[in-house]
Amino acid sequence: MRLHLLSPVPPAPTGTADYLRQLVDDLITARGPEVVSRLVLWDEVGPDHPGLMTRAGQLPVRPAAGLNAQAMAPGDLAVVFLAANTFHGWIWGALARGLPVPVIAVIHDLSTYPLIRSLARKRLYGLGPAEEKAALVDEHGAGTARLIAGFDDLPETGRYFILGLGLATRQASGLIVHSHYARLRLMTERIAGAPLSPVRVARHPAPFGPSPPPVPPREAGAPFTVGSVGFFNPTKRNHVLIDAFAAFLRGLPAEDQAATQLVFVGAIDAEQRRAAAARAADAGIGDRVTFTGYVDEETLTAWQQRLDLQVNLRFPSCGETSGTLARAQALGIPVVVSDFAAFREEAALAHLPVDPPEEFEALLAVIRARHADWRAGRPAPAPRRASTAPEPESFDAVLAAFERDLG
Amino acid sequence: MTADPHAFELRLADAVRRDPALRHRLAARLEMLAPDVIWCEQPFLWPLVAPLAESKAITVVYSGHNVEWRARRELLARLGRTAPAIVERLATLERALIARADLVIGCSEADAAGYRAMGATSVALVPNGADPPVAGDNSDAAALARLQARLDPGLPVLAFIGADYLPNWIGLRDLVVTSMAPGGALAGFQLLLMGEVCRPYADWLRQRGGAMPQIHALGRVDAATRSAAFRLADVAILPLTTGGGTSLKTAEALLGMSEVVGTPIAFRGHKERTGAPGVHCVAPDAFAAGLAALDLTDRDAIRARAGARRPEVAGCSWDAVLAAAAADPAIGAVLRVAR
Repeated sequence: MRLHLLSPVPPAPTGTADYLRQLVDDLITARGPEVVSRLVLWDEVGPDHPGLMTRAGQLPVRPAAGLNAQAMAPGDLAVVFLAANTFHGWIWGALARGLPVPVIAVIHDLSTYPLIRSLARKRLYGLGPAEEKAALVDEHGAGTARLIAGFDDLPETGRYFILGLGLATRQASGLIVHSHYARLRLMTERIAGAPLSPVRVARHPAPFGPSPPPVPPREAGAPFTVGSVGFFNPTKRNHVLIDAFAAFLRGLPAEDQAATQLVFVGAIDAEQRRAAAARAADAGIGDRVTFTGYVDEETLTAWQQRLDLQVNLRFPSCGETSGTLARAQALGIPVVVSDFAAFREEAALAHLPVDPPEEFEALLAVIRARHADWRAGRPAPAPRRASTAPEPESFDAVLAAFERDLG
Repeated sequence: MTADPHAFELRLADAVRRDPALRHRLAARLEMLAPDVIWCEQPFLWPLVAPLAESKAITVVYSGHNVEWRARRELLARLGRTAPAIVERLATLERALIARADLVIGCSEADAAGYRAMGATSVALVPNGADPPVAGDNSDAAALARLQARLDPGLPVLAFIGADYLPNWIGLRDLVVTSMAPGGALAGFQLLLMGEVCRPYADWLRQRGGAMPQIHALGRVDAATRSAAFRLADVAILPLTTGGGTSLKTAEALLGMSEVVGTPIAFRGHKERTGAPGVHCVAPDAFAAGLAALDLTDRDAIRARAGARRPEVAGCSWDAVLAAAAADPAIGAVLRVAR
């Protein structure tokens, strides 16, 4: 039995691509190197793609254009990795057309309707009005048409809470999510359609394999560094971080201010960068803020290892999992998250309220406390989870359970 | 949001900015004044003067009376409402003022901590003070006679003074006025009600129908009438259930000649004085019962207790408060600039 993994692969600049590489390494660790002979990777790549570098060597990636009924055999299993950015468009298209073997869907983002809507209206990947409707109808029943018509008039917060996962839930024999929050939403936000296939919660694969890279010694005189990592977008609350960091700096003597920096590591579009830089300049901290833009994985790790505090806030969209958060946890970097949705289940130094005025004050308090520890040479307090939901099982264990179910 | 009455203060700056005549008058006035110090007693009008304060040569002081965004949220919650857009905008506004302020003055420890949490770096604590409410001479004699003629000498007298500010009225209504209806715990009491809080009381009475003859709504009062009312009062009441800062009313009541009955919120900033003679701190849900249980039959004893607490409450007087404030180095630095 072969496992077909349908996912963006590196170097696609999306977290799912990194996730896949980490997952394959996890499977190799758990099942032995021979597992790679069972793995078939698919992505929207050209024939000259170098393949996926894994712990067991290079694994070829097949172009998605060759994905057809003949590409899969009875007894095979397809695992599709689904998120809400365009790197996943072809996978949604493949789901809509139907795959000839049982499918396990790994949900990386609960709110996928905006992507499906956009693709369907552009008639991309074979998606159209019927698929747009199919994305919603099990969740909204007779209200689907009204929702489709009025979607653009919904407030931003409302739009982020529309799932639109019907193309996945209809096709999949099993679903994998990364939080109990996501599992509950999948199970409860349905008013029509066939019963939902089993949903299991898996933990994020180990970003660095069984042993994360050693922490390099801090450079002498290295500044106190706070950072936000990953794609820069409004749901990551970076404007609150800029304001809170500015307030934190105002409370420091000038000589201490010079020994601090705020860094945004990751891709950022020009308009958002202009706006964020202007906000920082208005707050008087323009010279203390760095935007790296997109960086490769090695550089990303180096930046993360310089961080004294990683800020991983999300609202109103709280994805389903966060690769940069998993990396911070593996590297032992103190990280602060939102006390909201899936992030409540994550271990962190602090879980911040998402109510904006409270969020600002709580973030400022965390930065101040972390800086006090940093100055005193004290380690950050141990991370804790805000939720009492059980710790999830490994992806391998969850996948094995589905493989058993499917015989 | 703009139509919401709880966004009223937020609309003030917008109203001026959208009116060219008002805007020009303000600009001309500011140019004429050429201030060295901009002293803000509230954050609502900060957007109007913020451009002037872009120059670091101008010292900005925010002398707050509440952490406004928290006070507004509490008030809305008390009314069974949430209006996150208003609260968020207010918080943003207040935070902007705090970010620019060279000095932030809080009137309670809790407010000072709240301002620090919002990013304030230089914070001074100056509690609200008061002048003794009862005149030391007989300048209130005529008013006294007038009020005495309205009161039943056999019934205890409560006094409350307050602005037309929703927390004042809500606390008074829920903790006192409704209990003064026939059959209520305070049915045998009289109330001298002063200040513009009489307006929401009148509206409420009109909507409710009926009369409450033992409540004497005096409206805005002159100094003599206020002195007379507090001279006649057996109890100065402080039935506050929301709000931040410290209450001017509390300092005034403590310096007066009556028993003082207030909620824990009313005694914010005066906690150490709640054990003084004739001072009673009562939880909101026990307020009316606590008042009703007081022995108010001996007016001489009430006056004696008020006299006995004078040394403990002397620090509430404006003279004492301002002397302490002037000695604060941060405030002293601002005052030197102002000179």
